[in-house]
Amino acid sequence: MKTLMKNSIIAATLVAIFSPSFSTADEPRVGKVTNALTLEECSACHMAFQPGFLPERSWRAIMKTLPDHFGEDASLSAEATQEISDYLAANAMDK
Amino acid sequence: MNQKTTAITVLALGIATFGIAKADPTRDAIIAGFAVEAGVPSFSAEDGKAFFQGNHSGGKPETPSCTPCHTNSPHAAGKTRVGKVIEPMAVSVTPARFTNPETVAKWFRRNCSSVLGRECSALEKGNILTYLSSL
Repeated sequence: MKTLMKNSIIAATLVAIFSPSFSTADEPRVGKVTNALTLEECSACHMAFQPGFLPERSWRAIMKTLPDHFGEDASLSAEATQEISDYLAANAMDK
Repeated sequence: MNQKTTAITVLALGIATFGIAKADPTRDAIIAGFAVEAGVPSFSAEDGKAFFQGNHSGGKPETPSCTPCHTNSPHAAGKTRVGKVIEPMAVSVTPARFTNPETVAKWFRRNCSSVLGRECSALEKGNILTYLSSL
């Protein structure tokens, strides 16, 4: 019983010391969407995915094919398409 | 003013405010623009309702109508193709509806393409907006 008690206290202390590194309440590991237009337009139908989720080539491909966006027409004006493309590319996973 | 006059005045102002809250000059201008484009003096909410609820061919098989996403009742919330909530289309429930011309143009472009496989005519757009504004 004494060994069990001692081991339990050691285990609990280790968990307490190291749990912050497993915590999800810290800084987000992938930066939030910070461009207002991107946030507004890309959250119309689903959650606005953070630019850090994909590499630039994937974002470019998505933004070039908005009229057939996974089966949906997500087309935007030329200006909006350009602004969002540039923002996503500049903040992509490989940047 | 005596009590009765006050009560009537308050009631009248309340009704007037409610009426004004539903009308919106930008929305009216958008609808008026479609009327000019369509060459008609006004639109039909009945035709808009039939169009909104009816089945159309030419578009994607999953969306033969407005109702798969917006439901049969414009007072109800709808769902996007991946389940996110769409606020009700009825102006009485969502007063900001159809008050931004770019937003109106964008969604007609997308949704008419999906449902009908073509652009909606100015007549169709005006009828739909008139229907949804009347609810």
